Parts: sequence; C-alpha cells; structure tokens
Amino acid sequence: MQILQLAYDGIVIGALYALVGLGVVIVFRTTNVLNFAQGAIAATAAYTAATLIAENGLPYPVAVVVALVVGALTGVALGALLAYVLPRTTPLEKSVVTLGFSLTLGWANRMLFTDQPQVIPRVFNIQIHIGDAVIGGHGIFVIAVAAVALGATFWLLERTRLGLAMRSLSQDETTARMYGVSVGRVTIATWGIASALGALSGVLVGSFIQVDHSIMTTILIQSFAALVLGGFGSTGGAIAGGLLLGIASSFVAGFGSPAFKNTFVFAIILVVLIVRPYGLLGKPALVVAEGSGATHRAPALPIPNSWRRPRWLLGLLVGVAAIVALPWIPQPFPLVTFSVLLATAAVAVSLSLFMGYAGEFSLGHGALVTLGAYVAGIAARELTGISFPLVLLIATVGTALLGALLGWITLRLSGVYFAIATLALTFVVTEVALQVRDLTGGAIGTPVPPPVLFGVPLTSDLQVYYLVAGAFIILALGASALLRSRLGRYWVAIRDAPVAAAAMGVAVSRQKVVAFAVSSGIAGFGGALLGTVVTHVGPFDFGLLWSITLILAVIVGGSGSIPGAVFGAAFVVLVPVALSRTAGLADAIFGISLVIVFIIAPGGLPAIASRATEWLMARQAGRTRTAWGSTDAVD
Amino acid sequence: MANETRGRSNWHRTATLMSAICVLAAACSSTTPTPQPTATPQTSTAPTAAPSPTPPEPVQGISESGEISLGAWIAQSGPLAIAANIGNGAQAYLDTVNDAGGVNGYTFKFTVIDDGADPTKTVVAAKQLWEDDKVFALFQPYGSGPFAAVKQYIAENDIPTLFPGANPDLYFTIGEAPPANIFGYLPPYSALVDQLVTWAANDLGVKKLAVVHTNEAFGQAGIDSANALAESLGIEIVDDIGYDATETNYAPFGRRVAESGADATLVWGIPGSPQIITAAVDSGYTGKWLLNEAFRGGFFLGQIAELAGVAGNSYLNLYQLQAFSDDPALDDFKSVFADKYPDGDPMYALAGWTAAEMLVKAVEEATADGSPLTWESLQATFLKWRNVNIAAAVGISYTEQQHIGALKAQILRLDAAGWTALTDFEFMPGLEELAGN
Repeated sequence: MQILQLAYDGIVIGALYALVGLGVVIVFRTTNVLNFAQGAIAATAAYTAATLIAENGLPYPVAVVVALVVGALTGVALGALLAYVLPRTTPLEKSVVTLGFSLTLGWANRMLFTDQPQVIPRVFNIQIHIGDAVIGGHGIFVIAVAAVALGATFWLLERTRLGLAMRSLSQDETTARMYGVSVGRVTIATWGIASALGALSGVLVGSFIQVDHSIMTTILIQSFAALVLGGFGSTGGAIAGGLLLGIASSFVAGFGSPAFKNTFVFAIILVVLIVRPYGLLGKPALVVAEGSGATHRAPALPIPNSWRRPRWLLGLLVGVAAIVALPWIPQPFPLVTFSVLLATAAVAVSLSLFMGYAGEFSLGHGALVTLGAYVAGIAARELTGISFPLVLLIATVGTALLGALLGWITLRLSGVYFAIATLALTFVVTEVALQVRDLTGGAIGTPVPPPVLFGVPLTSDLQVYYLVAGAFIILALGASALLRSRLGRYWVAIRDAPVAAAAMGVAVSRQKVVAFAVSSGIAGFGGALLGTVVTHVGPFDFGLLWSITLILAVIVGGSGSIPGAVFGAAFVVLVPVALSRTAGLADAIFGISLVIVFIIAPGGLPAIASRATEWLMARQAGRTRTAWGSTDAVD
Repeated sequence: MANETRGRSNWHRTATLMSAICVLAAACSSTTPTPQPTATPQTSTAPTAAPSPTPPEPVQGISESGEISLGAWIAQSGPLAIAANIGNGAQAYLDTVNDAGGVNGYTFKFTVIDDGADPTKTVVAAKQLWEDDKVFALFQPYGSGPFAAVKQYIAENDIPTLFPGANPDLYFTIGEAPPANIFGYLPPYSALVDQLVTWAANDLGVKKLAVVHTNEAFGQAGIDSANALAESLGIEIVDDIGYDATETNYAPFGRRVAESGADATLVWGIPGSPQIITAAVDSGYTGKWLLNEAFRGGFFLGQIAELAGVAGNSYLNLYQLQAFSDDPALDDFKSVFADKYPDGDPMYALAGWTAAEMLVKAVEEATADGSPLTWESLQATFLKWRNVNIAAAVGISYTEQQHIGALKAQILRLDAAGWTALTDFEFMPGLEELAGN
C-alpha cells in the first residue's frame, strides 16, 4: 500500500476534521460552550448549496457563498439564543441546549430539503499520478480551501481587534468588559465566524463524501477527538490534531485490521494524552473544567446524619410509595416504559454522582451500560438459573474493574480530555462485541433471558418492574450512603480544591480512579437492568448518542442529585415516548423542549427546588412581617 | 431596578411557559387519536361487495365497521429517518383503497410509532401497539436491531406480524418450520449473496473475491455467506474489508480493494460504499463489482453510474421490481406517490406500497366468499399463494415450510443507459425446494 497514497487520503479527511474542529474551538474558547450543533449547521449549509446547484442551477461559487451565509446566520441565531434567552445557564447547560438545537435543525433540514443524502459536484475531477499514488484534484482543492480558511481564521484571531476581543473574552469576561469589549457583539461575531467555518466544512464534505446529517455529526465527534489530540482550545492544536487523526486513521485502515480501526486510533490518542495530558499543543491554562461541578451550581454534600431528619425520611417514603403504587395508577404508557425509566435512572445516578461530585463527565457510559447488559445476557444464558442479584453483582464488579483500569490509564487527564478518553470505551466495546460473535451474537446481539429471583423466573412486566424498582431503591440508598461517607468528602475536596486536598493527605489520583470505578460499576448495574427490561442487547444499542442523551438527563435533573437522576431519566424516556406518534416531529419538539426547560429552570431540578423553597420562605417571611405590624407591602 | 429586572425575567418566563403549553398542545394535536378498544364483533354495516356475517368471536384489531387496525414501529427521526418513506408508501396505497370504499367491507388504519431505531423505545412501541392500540397485526415493523429486541415478545404472544423490515435470519431459519404468526417479504440476505456470488463464479469466471462490508447485521451477512460459499465455488476471498457504518474516511478501504488483486468485489455495505468504489476505481481497480440493493437507484446509483470502470462492469440482484422499472404494475404507485409525497424517496416507499398491496389482496381473497376476516383466514390465504406477482413483488410463495415470500431474484448489469436484466427472476439457492407446487 502506497504510503504517499494513504498520507494524501489522511490529509484530506484531516483537513476536514481540522476545519470543523476549529469552529468548535473558537466558540469554546470564547464562551466555554461545546457546540454540538456544529455538525447540523454544516449539514444545513451543505443542503443549501446542493439544492441551489441542483434545483436552481446556481453556479458553484454563488451557491457556496449563500451556503456560508446561511450557516453563519444559523450559528448567530444559536449564539443569540444562548446569550440572550438563556443567560443564566451554565456553559455545560448551554452545551446541552446546542444538542437540542442540533436535533431540531436536523428535523428542519428533512422538512426543508430532503431526508436523502445529496452530493455537491466536485470542482476538479482531474487526477494526478505520482508513482502508484493517485492524487485527486478535488482532494487538493479541499486541502487548499481548508488551509486558506484556517490561515484566515488564525490571522483574524491573532492580528485583528476582533480577534483580540475574542481572546480577551476567553481569558476573563469581567476584565474584558472593563476594557470596553462588547461581550454580546463579540459573542455573536464568534458564533458567526465559527458557524461559517462549519458551513464551509459542510460544503467540502458534501462534495468529497456526501451531504448527510449523520455524516456531519460523525465528523463532528471525530473532530472532538482530533481537538483533544492536538490540544483543546488551541487553534494550532485543532489543525495538528485534525491532520494527525486523519493520517492515523488512514494508515490503520490501510495496513491494519479494519475491524479494530477505531480501537487502534483511540489507543494512539490515549498514548499521546498519557505523555501530553493536554494534547500536543494544548496548555493547562486552557483546560476549563467544563464538565466539572466546580461552578456556582456545584452540588453540596448531604448534611451528615440528615438521613435521620424527618424531611429526608418523608421524601424517601413518598418516593418509595410512588414507585410501588405506580403500576396501579392509570398511565398513558405501558408499564415497561417505567421499567426503562428506572433502569435509565440507575445509569443516570452513576453519571450524576461522577459529574456532580467528582467533577468530570464521561462520554463512555453507554459502553459500560452495554457491557452490563451483555453480562446479564451471557451470565443468564451460560449459567442457567443464576440468581439475578448475582448477575447484578457480576455486572457491577466487572464494569467497575474496567472503569478502574481506564481511570488508571487516564490518571493525568481531566475535563474534556478525560471525556474524549472515555469515548474510546464506546468504540472498543462495540468492536470487541462485533468480533466475539460466539459470545455476543455479533451484530445481531444476544437475548437476555428473564431474571431469576429465589429460583423463580420473572416473566411478566409487573414482576420485572418491581425487580427493577427494588434494585433502583437499593442503589439510591447505597449512593446516598456513599455521599455521606468519607469517600464523598474526598471527591468534593478533589473537585473544589485539588491542591488543598492533596495537602490534606487525600490521594487525589487514586480517588479519581475510585470515583470512575464506582461510577462505572453503577453504570454496569444499570446496564444489567436495562438489558433485562429490553430482553436483548446488541453492540449498537447504547452508543455515543445514548451517552450524550444520558448527560442531558443529568443536566436536566441536576448533577449530583439522586431525585434529579430520576427526573432527568423521566425527561429523556417519557418525552420521546409521548412524541412517538407525532409523525417525525419528535426531534424538533424534543429539541425545543430542552430549550424551554432551561429557560424555565436553568440549573435543572435542584434550581426548581431551590427557587420553590426561596419562594415559600419569602412568603413566610412576608406573613411574619405583616403579623408584626409592618404596613409595607411584601412581594 | 431590581424589580424591573425581576419583572422582565418574570415576563420572560411567563412567555416561555405559554410557549411550552403551545408546543405541548401542538404535539398532542398532531398525535394520532388514541384508538378505541376494538375486538368487537363485526356487523354487516355498509359492505361494498359481499356482506360479512357476524363472526363467532371478536377479532382484535377489527372494529364493528370493518376497520382493520395495523401498527408498526418505523424510525421517523434520528439517523434512520429515511425509513419513514416505507410507512408513507404503505399509507399512500391504503389511502387509495380506503378512498375507494375499502375492500369487501374492510378499510385499513395504519398507526406508525417512531422508535428512532432505539430498542428501548421499540419495546415500548411494541407493547403500545399490541396491548393498548390492540392492532390486528404488526405491519412492516422496521429495523433488525429493534426487531431483535422484541422478537421474544412477538413469539410469546403469537403476534401476527406481516412483512417485517428486518434481517429475515432473525425470524426464519431455512430448513426449520417457520413461526406461524410471521409472514415475511424480504429474502434472507444470505440467499441474495449466494445467488449473486454463485452467478459471478459460474458466469463471470470469478476466482478471487474481495468483500467490502459494514460491521453490522447486513454487512456481516455478506461476508459470512461469501466465506461459506467460497470453497464450494472454488473462490478465494482475497480480502475481507469491514468498516464501521459511522466511518468517514472511506478512501483507504477503496485503496485496499485496488491492491487486493480481486477479480470481483462484493460490496455489502451501504454507507460510504460509493466513496469506496470511487477510491478503488481511482486507484486503478478494474475488476467486477457485485453490488447490493442500495445501488438500484437514487443517490447511490448517481454516485457511481458515471465512473469509468463501473458501467458495464457492475452487477446486482433484485428480488422485486424497482421504481425505475417500466413495468405497468408500478404505474399507480408512480403517479400516486409522486402526487402525495413529491419529495419522498420512491425506492423505500415502493417497498411499503407493495407490502400494503399484498395485504389488501390477501384480505380481498380471504373475504371473497363473505367470510369474516380472521388471522387464521388470512394465514390460510397466504399459504395458497404460489408464484404470485403483486405490484413490485415477483414470484411470491408461502408454504408450511417457509414464510419468506420472495424466493426469486434477477441479476442485472449496469450499462450506460441504466440497469439491464441479464436473467429472469430465478429462485435463489436453497429456496426452490421450499416454493411448494
């Protein structure tokens, strides 16, 4: 296989990764928001260009310019939504809103354009032969355009007043304001520039591969990996990471086993990160603990012995009573929906604790759920009559050990770097499951037999519901106890003040490993429950999109909150089921619902609870003051 | 100032709450009405042709007025949203039947639940359709992964299931008695590969075969079948190139094809396959192409049709007529679907239309003598079909030994003008003996 050929292939795709990634970096550096809608914006621009060329007969350059404008304006609209309609949300919540925007935009593209792939004509259909290598003219065009765009962006950021304003905003918003930077305008300009870059990448991808929402979303995820490799937050890193990732994937595909291509590529990324924890060109100062709980809404630990307080006990009793009584209350959904809800809530607890108290977030929890479900299926199949609690134990311990291993490997990583490292789990688990077909059933997957309790197989929906409910209640109590233990205090100390924690004798690195291991174990526990409810597991059932949906559930419910995990799981399970008969509107309405949730209750469930408490206290204070004879009206 | 700010914030939130209510109202109003429980005996109200006597017992999913309730889960959102066209095609045909007054007193209601191809949603959808909506049958439920998740539930409850859009290997095993409650339409992917590769070995003299396939159910069927056949046909599999359906860097796989030395390459994957073919041709590959059904028209065909070394060199086999066919059996489909769904995908939609026409024909035959429709009478009607042609379906047969349906396929070659049939519809390997008399 020609090295030159593979290098060329890798540079072309790498240039596209870099272009997409640079748009993400620009927004992230200025606003701390991870823009999950960059792919959808690129697809919108690409569909615009394809339609203008194919149906309206516009010349290629004109269509591309229009597409760039459309993409930029779409991004500006998103930026304005985040800045002016959702000003009180955290960057992580804004990131989740961009995911909702992406879903809505995908629906809009299907309605406005088509649901089929399209293609944008290539500019140069010539081929240049260098030895045995074939260098396509259009590929050179893609590289050249990407290089010009990247260079122009670099010049703008480093050599213009706008770029200076953007960089100052990324350093410190308050100081930037003091020096006269118009935060609103600079933010809008940032979104416009980043989205124009995304639009350009969409047009190029549309001519080099195809115009397709899924393709652009996949390229976006791969660009995240490229950014981490190059150094998240670094414009040079975006370019270097994109090119390196493209070349690495080319060579692995060309020379290695395609069956484990992603595993090899992510192994390369992990090796780089172990040596350079902030990527090749990244700097520690640029690592914002975006996914961490170290924000003004970081959850506090439960008060010691608060479980003895009447309010806590009352809340527990009410919750348990609601869960027990649910099957007997008329519902618009089948009972299995609530089994799925509680099993999903169990997984949400795992991520919620990790995000809220350990201060990190993970994109690999779907893989841990998959593993837990496979354990449930394989154990029940191979060890006929095995008791379900034992299945849960095996799933929990197995995934905890895997989590400990990954945690140990990624010891020096944090924030988005750690999150991308966990993404490796998703690809590795999928690829291994596809290959170990005798065990996993390969692509088709494997059935998960009915759970057995005290020698009795539980086959009805009601039996399975109570089994899942009981398991969840035990998990919730265990998690609650964990937070009240010394372990919970270590985690909060590491989250809020790692240096001080280390000075006080807390083994920071070891506790991070423990935190991820515990979270992984709980995720495996939830996965075994989900596999049991669904009665089947396949390698693609809980992929990256599912992991992102889980993060969404945690944000909506409030990270660090066990009741919040249930609330968030209810949102991501019940809302799509409620929308399932809306003839394809589900994406749009779900995306809009997300925005509405964060307008009404930024901060998720804890914010709702806290505002309700404040309102009640204010009313009580008002009554007290008027009782003492005050003539002032009290709000 | 604080009060003004709070006032603006309160107005903001109120406006949002009102918007939320509107959005919810929109969602609720656009949902299909909750079906009323059916399972009531038919009466002889307004039959069009033959009067229907009251059946001895109620039939789930058939109302007093003779409305047959059908249900399916089909991805209408998410990455597989293009599958929605299957439901649209079926709905378009059923609407024409209903508008004409139904058939023998029966009309059709088709409920589609969007599961986004997520198995956790599919299990909910399956139970909603069977237990809440009480449909007569599942009709074209879509997706291999989703079907695998509910396969056990369907089997345990003996749910009538017609023409699932899933890998038939999930519910049929050739040589074993088929489940009585499932009648298919898709042929096993393995049978399609068997026919195409066998023909390539015998008619094209292929000795070295490269296989490009996605690493999921469809693609795995391709490589598994090719591996199983290779020795018996005297073929060497020179390269097994599997790739993720979420891959974006396709060119290296095409380069591997060019370097493999293969006489022919079996392309048994859908995403990215045009790019792999393009890269292989660019790198000098001159062997034959054995393609899958996705290349029958539309986007995929457009991507490769004008590549040098593809036209005149590419083959595929199809188990049904395709939207590009001039066969008059498709005239109604072309005019009706284009009118109702001008931007819809006709290739997916034709599958839905054909399945709907097959169902309606079966209902018509089952009730031609005035007997009320039951699942048993519908089964009996299907089992009488031998070599039946309906819409795009060719040579459909069902027997006690197989409920596959589509047992035949024809080989076509891509020429400059388009696809040219090289053979008639012929039995795929291993299926002729199951066709019955």
